[in-house]
Amino acid sequence: MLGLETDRDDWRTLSGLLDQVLDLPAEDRSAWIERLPLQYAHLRNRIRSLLAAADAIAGGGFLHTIPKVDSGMTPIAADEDGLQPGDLVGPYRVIRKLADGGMGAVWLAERADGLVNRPVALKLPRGAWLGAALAERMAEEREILAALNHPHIARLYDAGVASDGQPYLALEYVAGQPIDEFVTSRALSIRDRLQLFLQVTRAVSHAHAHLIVHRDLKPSNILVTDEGEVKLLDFGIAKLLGEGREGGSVTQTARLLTPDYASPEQIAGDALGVATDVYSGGVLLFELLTGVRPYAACGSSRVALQQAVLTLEPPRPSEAATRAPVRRLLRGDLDCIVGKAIRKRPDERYATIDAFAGDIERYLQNRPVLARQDSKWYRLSKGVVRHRIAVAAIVAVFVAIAAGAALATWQARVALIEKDRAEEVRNFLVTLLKDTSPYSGGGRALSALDWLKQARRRIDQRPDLRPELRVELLNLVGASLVNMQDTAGADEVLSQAVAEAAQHLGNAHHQTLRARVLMLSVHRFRGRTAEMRAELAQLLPALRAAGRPLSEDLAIALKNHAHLEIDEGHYHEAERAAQEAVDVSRRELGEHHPETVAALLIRAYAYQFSRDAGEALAAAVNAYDAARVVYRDAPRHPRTIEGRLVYGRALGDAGELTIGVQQLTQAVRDAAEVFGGSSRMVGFFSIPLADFQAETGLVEDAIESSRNALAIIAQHTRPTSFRYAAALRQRGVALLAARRTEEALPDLTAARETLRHTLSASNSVTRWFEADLGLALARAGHHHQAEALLEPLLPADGAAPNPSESKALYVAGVQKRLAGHPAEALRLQRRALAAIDSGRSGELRRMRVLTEIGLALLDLERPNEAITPLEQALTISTQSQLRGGPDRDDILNGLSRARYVPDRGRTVAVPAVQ
Amino acid sequence: MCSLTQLIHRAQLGDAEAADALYASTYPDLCRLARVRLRACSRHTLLDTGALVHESFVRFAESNQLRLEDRTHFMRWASRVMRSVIVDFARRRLAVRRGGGAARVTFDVELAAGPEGALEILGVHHALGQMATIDPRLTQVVEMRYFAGLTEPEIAQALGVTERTVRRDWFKARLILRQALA
Repeated sequence: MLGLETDRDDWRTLSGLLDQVLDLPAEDRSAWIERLPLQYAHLRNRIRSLLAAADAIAGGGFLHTIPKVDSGMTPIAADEDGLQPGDLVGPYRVIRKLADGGMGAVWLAERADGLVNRPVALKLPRGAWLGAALAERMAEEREILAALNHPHIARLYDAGVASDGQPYLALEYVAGQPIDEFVTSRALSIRDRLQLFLQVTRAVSHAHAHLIVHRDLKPSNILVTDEGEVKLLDFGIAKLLGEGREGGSVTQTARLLTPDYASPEQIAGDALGVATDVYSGGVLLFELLTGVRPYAACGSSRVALQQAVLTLEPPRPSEAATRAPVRRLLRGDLDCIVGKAIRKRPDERYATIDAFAGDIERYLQNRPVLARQDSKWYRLSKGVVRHRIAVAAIVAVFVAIAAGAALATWQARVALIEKDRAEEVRNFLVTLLKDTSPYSGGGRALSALDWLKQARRRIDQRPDLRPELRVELLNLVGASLVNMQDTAGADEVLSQAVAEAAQHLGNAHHQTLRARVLMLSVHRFRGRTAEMRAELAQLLPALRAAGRPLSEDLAIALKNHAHLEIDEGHYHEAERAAQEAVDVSRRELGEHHPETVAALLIRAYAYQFSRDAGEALAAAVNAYDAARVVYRDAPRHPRTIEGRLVYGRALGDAGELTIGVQQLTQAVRDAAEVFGGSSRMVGFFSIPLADFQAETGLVEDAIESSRNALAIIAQHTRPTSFRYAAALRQRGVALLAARRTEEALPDLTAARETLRHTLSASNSVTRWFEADLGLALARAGHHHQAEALLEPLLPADGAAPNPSESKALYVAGVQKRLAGHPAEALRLQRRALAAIDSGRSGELRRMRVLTEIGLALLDLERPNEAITPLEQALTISTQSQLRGGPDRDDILNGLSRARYVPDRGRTVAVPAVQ
Repeated sequence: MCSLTQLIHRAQLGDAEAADALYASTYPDLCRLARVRLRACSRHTLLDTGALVHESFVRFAESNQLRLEDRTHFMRWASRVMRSVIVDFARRRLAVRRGGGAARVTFDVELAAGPEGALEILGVHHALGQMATIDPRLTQVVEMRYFAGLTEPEIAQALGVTERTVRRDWFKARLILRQALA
């Protein structure tokens, strides 16, 4: 095939050239091609050969319209493939057709080359193949799906696209009956049916461990062989074919699913997850046990069924079953188990398929089933939700019980709850308090906060409670408030906790330590860095000494330590702290503990400063994925949003600016939606967003984002805090990027002042800010001030510059050029360039330095030499997806100047690229 | 309930899923229309795809699944679908020959002459697949012109460019395709 192997940029160049040459009259074209400058020489032949066809085409006739299509004599139905037994599709030879559904046909097939002698079920999707990039998706997903190797899952052996464009999926051929027919035709007992179902759950669990959700579990997808082995079909095929992808699937797509097995969230088009499979599994179990489907009584109209799934409470299995002995057996535990699986709200179901299977196993072993006690709390909490006031009363009950205080008024309730459940009650309280976050309540952030405030008031009203319990509860409330971004509230509550703990429990008590650890975040958010450092100095050794019981606290403290070090520019210390946090969490808390995710996130963030872009990106991907796994049922959990932020920044640093900006924008959007548009998180996230927007040339957006960030952060911290200075600096940088230098100056000056006071003058972050200021001063023409500022920032001659020094070199170079000393500027920029080449990749920094080199050479009246660096800069700007902006303008203007060829008073227009 | 409107809008913003769903709704329709049209005429029909696309739009608009304002957007998507329909026809045409089931074929001069038409269609289709990553707009112009039979003013309106640009794009595309199909 002709050079359609050309890449995008080559084509753009070529296309531009073609436009120009086609505009010329035919007789001038040859000469024009000859005169193409050197950098287009390699394209000359291509242009010539393409033009050779021009005349033929201009005459009309070639590809004027599609050729005649012979309809053939047989009516070709929209769903016929025209395949015959013996035909080849890819490497397979089809034998006979097994089935034909709307989305495609399935054929029994075998490998044509006889390499492997086994029958496969060849699935040939139809029509969808021109939808979004099926081939690319297949390449992506095939690795994952092919790795799904489990005795109860029909293997995906192969996936590909045949030479005529027909995609194919080669699956393990399974001869068996659908599971519902199997259990009915053999009249299996309840126990046997449950055992069969457990096979299904094992298969699903295996896939979930590989992050694959089935999404389409139903009897026709679950076959049972004669030997009683279950085989799940079509795992992940739904995703491969793009049906109902995760996160916001479309109603249209949901319409393609049978509503009998579709979960409420699938019908409503909400986010899907592990819980979706739990639901379908529950419906399946319902049918296996009773012989009917949960909403069978609602008729067969699609709409009615959908409505039922969304809003009606299904009958209990024991009620739906038709035969009396079956009803007796189902009543009680099995009712509860199935009921818990098919709850409307995903967060009320079994959290994992393993939990579901676990309860079934307990039932089979005649052990108490968890679903039953859950149903009690379920009823309780349902009552709780209806009457907000009652919540406080419940808290009081728990508190009383946990405290062991047998107050007369609570005695009746206490009696209801067995003594050995007291521990569980407390745990329930702990979970209820700790996990109150906006997303899990479906956006009821306000009521959760009120709830916490109520809880806190209740604690205040009970001075008779044991001090240890009081502090523990205060800690819980405080931690929840931190999670929910209510810094002021958390400050109050935790300060109280610390005070009471110090007074009543002593400094070594673990609740005291916990309170102080939780306070660390508050100190950080409020900019109280000195206090934070002092606390860390005392807390870390104490926590390390305490060992396993306080591992979670140690991890949190280390995380805060890492954050602090990053803020202050001590990146290697940050990395060390983060690494220790990761190690401790992994070892003591486990891979899937929320604190491990937090540790991975902070480490990835640290890497963005201490390692090169490749390593940083790898760590960011790692952390983001971990967050998505652990919080897979809550796509807008603060940690997932944080993960997206870290990931977006890493992408940007690695040169993928457009995607980086997309991810950051999404993170900001999510944070705004979950916590409100003026929440602290939105303010913080808007800073790196502004940074990248400025880098990609979206200068107006950058100014907007940074303004927003500053406004928000001003509400949360003091103007003398580092956070505020960072936001101020970002606005200044954005304005500077837009070349609104006069406006940028005050911001950058103020930011630098703050830093000189809060950090030291020799701190790398301070120097970074000073370089920004230097650039502004230079552009504004205050050369003396700029020189004075920049001089001490420069590295000694011959020394290898660190990042802030190489930035200073660049800025100093700009200043020299603007002040009219191009030779000096050139020398500085060349040093800057050498530094960038050998360090952490920063393509855009290179681009800017190259631009400056070009401009300096132009000022030195050496235009021919200027062309190369300027064109290199241009290439980088295109590759980095720069969307215009002053930096790009500089390059283009420079190139125009360089190419101006005075020739008999006429400018020969040499093709400008794009 | 203008669900298709939303889908088009989302597909336009790059929502691949909406694109798939949109595809799934429009493909059967266009296919059916094409078949009906083919059956109505005798064996060699110059498939008037432009008319088909328009007709399809009218049907969706009449059933209130699309608003009249969506016409332009719909044209772009329908062109893609039309491409899919045509290519499927071409593939089947080749398959019929390949399978060689005697009962299906009549001995007709045109048939015996060979499936050049189908081969050309598939050739263009493959070339477009490669072109899509290099120059998306050019690909769209070919889709709309070659497969969907839309006129230059219609294409210009749908893509938001001038007619001159469309003409130039179509010309450049054919320069490349000519080499590709040689």
